[in-house]
Amino acid sequence: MKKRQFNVLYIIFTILIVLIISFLFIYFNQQTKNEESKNICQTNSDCVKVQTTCCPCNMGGKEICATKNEAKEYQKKLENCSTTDLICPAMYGCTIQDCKCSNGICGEINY
Amino acid sequence: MVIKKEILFLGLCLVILFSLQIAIAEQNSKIDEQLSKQLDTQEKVKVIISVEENNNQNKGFFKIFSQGNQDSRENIINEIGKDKVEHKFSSSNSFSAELTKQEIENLANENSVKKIYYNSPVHAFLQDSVGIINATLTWPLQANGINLTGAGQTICIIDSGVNYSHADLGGCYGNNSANSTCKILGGYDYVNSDSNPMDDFGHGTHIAGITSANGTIKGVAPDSKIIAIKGLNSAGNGNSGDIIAGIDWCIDNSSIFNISVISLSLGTSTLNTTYCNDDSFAPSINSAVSKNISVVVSTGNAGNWSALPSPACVQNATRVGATDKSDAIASYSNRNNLTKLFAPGSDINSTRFNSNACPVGCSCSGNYMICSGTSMAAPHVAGAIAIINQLLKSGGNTKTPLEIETILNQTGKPILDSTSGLTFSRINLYSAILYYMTPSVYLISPLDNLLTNQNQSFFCNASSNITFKNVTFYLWNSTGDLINSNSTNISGYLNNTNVSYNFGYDGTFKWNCLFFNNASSSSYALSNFSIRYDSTKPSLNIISPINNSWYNAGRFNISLNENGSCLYSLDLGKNNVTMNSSDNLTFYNTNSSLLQNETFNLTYYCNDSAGNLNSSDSIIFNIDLTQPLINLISPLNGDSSLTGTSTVSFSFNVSDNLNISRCNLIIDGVSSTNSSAINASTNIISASVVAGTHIWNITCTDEAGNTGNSSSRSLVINSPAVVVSSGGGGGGGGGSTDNFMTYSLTKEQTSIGQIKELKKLDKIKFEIFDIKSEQHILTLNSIGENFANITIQSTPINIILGIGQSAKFNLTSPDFYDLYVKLENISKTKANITIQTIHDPIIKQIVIQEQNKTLEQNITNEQKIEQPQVISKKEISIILITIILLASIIVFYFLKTKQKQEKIKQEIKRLEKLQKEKARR
Repeated sequence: MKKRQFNVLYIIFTILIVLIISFLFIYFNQQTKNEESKNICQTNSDCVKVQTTCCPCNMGGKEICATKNEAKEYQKKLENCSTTDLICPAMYGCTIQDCKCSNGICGEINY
Repeated sequence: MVIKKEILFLGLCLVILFSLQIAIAEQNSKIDEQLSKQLDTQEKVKVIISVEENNNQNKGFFKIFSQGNQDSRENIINEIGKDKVEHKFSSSNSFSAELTKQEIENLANENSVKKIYYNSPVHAFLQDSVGIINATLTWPLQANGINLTGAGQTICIIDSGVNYSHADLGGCYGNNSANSTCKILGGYDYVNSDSNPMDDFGHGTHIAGITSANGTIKGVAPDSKIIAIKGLNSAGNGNSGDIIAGIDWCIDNSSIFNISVISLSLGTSTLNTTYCNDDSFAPSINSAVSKNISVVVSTGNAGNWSALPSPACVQNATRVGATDKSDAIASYSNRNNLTKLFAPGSDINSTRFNSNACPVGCSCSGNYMICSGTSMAAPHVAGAIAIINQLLKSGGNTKTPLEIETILNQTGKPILDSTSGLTFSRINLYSAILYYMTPSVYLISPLDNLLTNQNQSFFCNASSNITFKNVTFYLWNSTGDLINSNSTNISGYLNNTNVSYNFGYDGTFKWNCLFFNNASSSSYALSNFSIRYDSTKPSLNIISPINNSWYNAGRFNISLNENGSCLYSLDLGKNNVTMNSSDNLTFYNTNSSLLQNETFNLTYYCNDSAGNLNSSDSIIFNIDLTQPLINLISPLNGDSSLTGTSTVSFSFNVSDNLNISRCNLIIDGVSSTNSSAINASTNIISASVVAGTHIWNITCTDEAGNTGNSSSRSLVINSPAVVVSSGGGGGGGGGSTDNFMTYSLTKEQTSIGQIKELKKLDKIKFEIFDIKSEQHILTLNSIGENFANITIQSTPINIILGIGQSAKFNLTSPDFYDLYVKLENISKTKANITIQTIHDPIIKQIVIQEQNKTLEQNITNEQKIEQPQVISKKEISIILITIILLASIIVFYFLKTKQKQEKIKQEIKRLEKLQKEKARR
């Protein structure tokens, strides 16, 4: 009797745990999917070069290939950079010649 | 117990789930970010696989386990296939290979794989760029026994900080102690406001390696020290305030740390085409430069060839652009005509700040990374300046940053930038160092091409940035054989050397001085000086006076066999006179103040240009001023006994107190014949005389040079060719009864010119070389006391000539004169007239042009008078129309105003009425 009760409890507990984990997995997976859907490209024209740091890539900064939605978000972030008193290192890091869409992801064509 | 089992099972499930998550996360973190990007676009990628070190696992329980995996690298290599492996690295437990995406992902799941990096293409190493600027050649050179490696010099690097724990950068931090043995002596972090300028971005560490690394790689100045100022944050940016504060820190502490150069591999994004001396950086940079601290600034990477960012645009900054390893201007490098220096900046391998992080744009491997930019060029120059300052300061010298920049520019390799058309200079440190190390030598005296005395002192001087060791004086003869070398040990940085030498023989010699300094660097003066030693006296050739001879003045004449100067001395030095010369070889003077019958004792003294003196023997000469006396004997004055060309004997006698050296017969002012056989009795000189009237006399010269003149006589030789015709006085009432002569001259005679003695009414018939061959006649109409009236006939022209006067006539052409007539003299009733055909062009005056000009002026004046009338009519019309219009407007306005006023009046009246009505009510 006790064993049966235990088995029931065990099954219920296991199901509960599995449900919780599944729920969490589905929840986080969905969130990631939502995030990723923003970053999915269809054609090469969806992809643009975007500066991701306050300094440009020719002065120690970084640029990447991203979808236009992502690019807007980066540009928004860059609004916080100083425009009048910004000093950058004179290190040249512009390697992206062009951007292309590959399997829904914006990739770089380097020099 | 069962519950425990279940709990254990559940826990196990959870562990498995979490492990799975961690495994996925680990797999992702093992793949380098740069590699991930490459995998997106490439099927096969070159990678470097870092495998866990076995040593770390050889402890306790894991020892047994790890023994089974003693060479995990080899296991992995076997797994992926040995043919895919390119290199196995001995310095670390890693290897390189070219793998597919799937193979890389599989490797990332391997526990023993630590990290998989993208194997970036590598083009150059710091060693290459250090070699390109010839820094490696300067290191073996020594100043005061110390190699030129930047020892004793400190470079202030204002950047993102420096990872001082890097082995190539000393591996320690001096904590602002000038006596520290650490390479990084100290610094300040303006981002975090502390004294620990640790690099968290990577740029500054790379810069520090270029200037000063001394380990696996060597920077430009491997023994130089560093002050690290952190002004850029972990994201790689900063603000001008922190950078300026950093410059000030370096200036304030320059004497403590011996800071001679500041390196700024940074800048703004705005560009300037001219100097930006109003920029916020300018005061600090100027302050540094005023203390002889060079501020080396990179020009930025916008690829602009006309503008620079701040602070590179500050005038006193030492701007540096970037070249690639093939010495071409890097396409990304900003440059313009303000940029003087370039240095390698592309693909420079230097120290990496963190083996787990790689700045964007750089290729990283182990503790090193390859980056590009003018950032990398500037520290090459900073390191070079540190070495130059080491050399200068070892000699107690200082040069301004501008002077150092100029020498680096002048000694660098010229590089033509085809884009801008400008030629830039890529620094060559070795050439610059040689420039500074080489003594500057100057030869002072004796000057080039100068003659010298037997005992000659030679002076040369020199300066050097390194203390002197010795100087050697060299003297060569004309064949280049060394005839003297004299070495002396010297010291100091400046030296004036004086060497004496006694010449043994005459000749041309060359000399120079060779200075050695303690850096074993030596130098002669740029070119040898040439000198001539001459101990031989000049040889004198006395032309005048001749010993024991007579002269009518002091005539001194002497020549030398070489250039020199002379004087004559009379009466044993009583009267010394420097002689004249136009060529310094022949000398002459005339003294006309010497008196009759005086006797003089003369000596010549001459120096050659070397100062050698020679004198003549004593010369005695006498002065005679008496002229010979001559008496003419025959022919008698006015003799006309001869006809046709005749040989005439002219006889005379002459007397003088000295011997007569020669006599001359002068006929018509021309020396005809001379005779040297002269005696006191009658002398005869014979001469052939042509027909005509002639004037003759005799001159004689005595041995002192005095010449006497006889009186003049006339001689008439009658011409057989004369045509005599009777002259008539022009018909009519009582003409003249005087006979007249007509002389006929041929064209040839007239062309060479003839003098004819004419009396009144005599005529000369002559022809001129013209087409018509017209005959012309010259008639002497009358003779006055000192004039003659002449008529030229053909087209009759009448002129009066005074004695000595002449006239030109144009008988055949209006363009040139063809006849010349001159009245030579008048004797009694006869006139001597010269007649000759000539061909002189007639210069015409531009009378017509003048007339035209006047005409034009008149026309212009008339126009000037008429024009105002036309304009005035127009103006009057315009003025009238304007006045009418204005009047109409005024009238219109006036009427309108009146209408308004009337309306207002009516309104007022209406209101008054209304008020009145209201009042009534």
